[in-house]
Amino acid sequence: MPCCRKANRHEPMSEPTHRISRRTFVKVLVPAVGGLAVGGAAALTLISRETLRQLYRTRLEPSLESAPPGPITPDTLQTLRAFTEALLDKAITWSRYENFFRWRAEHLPGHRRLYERLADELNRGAQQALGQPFVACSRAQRIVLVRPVLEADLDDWDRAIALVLHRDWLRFNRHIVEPLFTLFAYHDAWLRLGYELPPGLPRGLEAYQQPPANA
Amino acid sequence: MKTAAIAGSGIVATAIAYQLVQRGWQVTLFEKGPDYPYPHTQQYQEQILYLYDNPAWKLPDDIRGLTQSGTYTRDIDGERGMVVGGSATHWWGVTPRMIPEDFRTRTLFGYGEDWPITYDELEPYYVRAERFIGVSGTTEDNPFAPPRSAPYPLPPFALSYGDKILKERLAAQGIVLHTTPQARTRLPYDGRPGCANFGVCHVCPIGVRYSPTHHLQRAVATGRCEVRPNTTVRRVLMDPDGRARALLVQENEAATPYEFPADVIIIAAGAIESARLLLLSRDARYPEGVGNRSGWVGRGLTFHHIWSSSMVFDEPLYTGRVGPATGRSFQFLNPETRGRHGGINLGLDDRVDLRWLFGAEDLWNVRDSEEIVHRMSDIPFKRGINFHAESIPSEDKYVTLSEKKDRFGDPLAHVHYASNAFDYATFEYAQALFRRLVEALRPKHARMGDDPERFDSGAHHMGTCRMSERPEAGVVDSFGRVHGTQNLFVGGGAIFVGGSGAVQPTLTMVALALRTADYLLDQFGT
Repeated sequence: MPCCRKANRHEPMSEPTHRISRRTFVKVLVPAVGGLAVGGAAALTLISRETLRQLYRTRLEPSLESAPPGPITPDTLQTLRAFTEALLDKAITWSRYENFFRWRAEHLPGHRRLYERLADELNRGAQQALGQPFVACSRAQRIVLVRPVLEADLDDWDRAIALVLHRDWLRFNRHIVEPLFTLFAYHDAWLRLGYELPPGLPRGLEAYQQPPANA
Repeated sequence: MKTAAIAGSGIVATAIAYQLVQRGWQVTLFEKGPDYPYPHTQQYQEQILYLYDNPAWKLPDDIRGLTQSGTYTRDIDGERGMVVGGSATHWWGVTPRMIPEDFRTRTLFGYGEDWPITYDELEPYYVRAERFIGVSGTTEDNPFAPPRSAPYPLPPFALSYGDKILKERLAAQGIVLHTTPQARTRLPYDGRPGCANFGVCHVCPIGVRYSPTHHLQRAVATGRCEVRPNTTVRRVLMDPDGRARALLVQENEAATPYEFPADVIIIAAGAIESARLLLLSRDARYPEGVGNRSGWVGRGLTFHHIWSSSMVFDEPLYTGRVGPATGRSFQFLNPETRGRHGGINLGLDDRVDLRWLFGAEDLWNVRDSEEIVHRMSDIPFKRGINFHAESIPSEDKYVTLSEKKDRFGDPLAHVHYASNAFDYATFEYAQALFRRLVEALRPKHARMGDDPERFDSGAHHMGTCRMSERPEAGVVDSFGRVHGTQNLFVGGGAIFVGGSGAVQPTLTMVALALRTADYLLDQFGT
């Protein structure tokens, strides 16, 4: 590679050049690189996480393919259920999540295809690691299998790496994982806090005047 | 047949249009934003069940934006709802009346200006407005409610389990907690069902919380009303004799505008856009903008200043099991010290808005369901308390035209809003009230910010085209007619003389709109 070719000190030079010694080079370069690193770090600390998040969301985040919407297959749905239960818990109100997957697949471009890709990715990982499909794995095994996908979006550094190496993982996080946790906060989390039903569902006008029946 | 053209399609535009259409007028409403389905079942499904933020309901920034300066920390543009039906397609629905003293603050307390109408003159229209939008409420538990000539059309929403605990403790300290009047149907009413308590009232899927679209659809069904969505009103065109000839309108995606003439022109586009439209309509006869000989267009801008606090109690209140507003206190709307500061409307509503959940509980990016439950575990024990405060206009609160332009080349609105000494004094009063509440309620933890600039306007933008008896003191008369014109009217919070005291302004906006409609029918016939 030309950029890596070592200069031959004995080669006649066609043009005069300014030579600097290795010592001078080190004396200049090290402080320059150090300064840049310190300055960069300082700048990064000045940029809030929110700013970085906005930058990512508005400029860098991988977009969805514009594949047509359509129904998801039972196999894909089964894998999505296994994924959801690995992520959240087995004791969830699955119908709420199932409706979410079905509606998005059937109404929003790109989602059905995304769900299929997630199912493929999970099954490929399970086959490689355990020689069986994802749904056949235990919950503990599934948790191990989904962890790399989750961790791809946990902090700015992981996200930067995933932007280069695992762009689909970021799509899974944005369009599947994040909404699933939001749905959990909207629904099952309320049930675990002792509420009969969460906000968003019709609860009538009598119960709220008394403590919950299971309080 | 008389004709009216209205800029805007929100609650005020709808109230006027509906009355005129019933009496044979042909009315056309121009709405900058898109059509918005009603009842809001689709929006409910998208936002709540499927977490989908539909871009079809949003306008691009080069049509709807504004610029802002001053000390207000929130995004003013984001507070405006630009869809068919306006902001009241997703409002909170709390509908108190202003109190008689709010109309006479100059005389009684030495600040602001008196309104050119009194509470007594407006009272019959309050009754009609409550019937029009279907208000549930009572005065039986509220000794601080203003006088009324007729009962509410619907019974109130009862206090919650948690409210009752708080009510008892407050009563021991001489503070009254009472039910809240609101435009939600406690029982079936006027073609709307009774409340089922979904608790996501901003997208009520069954039409319990009033949306203007309820009446707009009925008006359109008569064949005498047309709504033109995605159409921007760019100018009011005036004849030399002071008569408004037409609106100059342009479809958002069209290359050229067109004139739309009418017998009566009404601007009901929210306080900021209404002022902007008058300023944009300047011509040789009106070099400072239509209706702006007095210089008052845009000048009287007033927001509410809503400061938040929260308390966490030892015992569970089970907060968040009811969507409609519940506990409130009007005891401090008109305190003895009013004049040194403004009044305050205390909101202790027992609700948790799902939209707030992720901000309030810091759930963004949490990838652990147990951690989410843990972070939400305060909710049953917690209560938010809002100090909904009165404010007054000053030199540092105004709307003018921006340097920045929209896609048609028209300057956007520029809003400058900075708190004044009155606001700071009211904040101190709110802090004193907070300490009194802490003493009465005995929470485990209590928190109220100490920065008076951290407030929410409640999307209550008012006073930019204020009414006045004398033309030199305001923009419109008490019926909303622009001074110096024959047939040009402004409606809504824009024509308030400053703000609406410490109470939510919407019911007063509707009452004034009904009064304007009566005036139009009386003056222009049918």
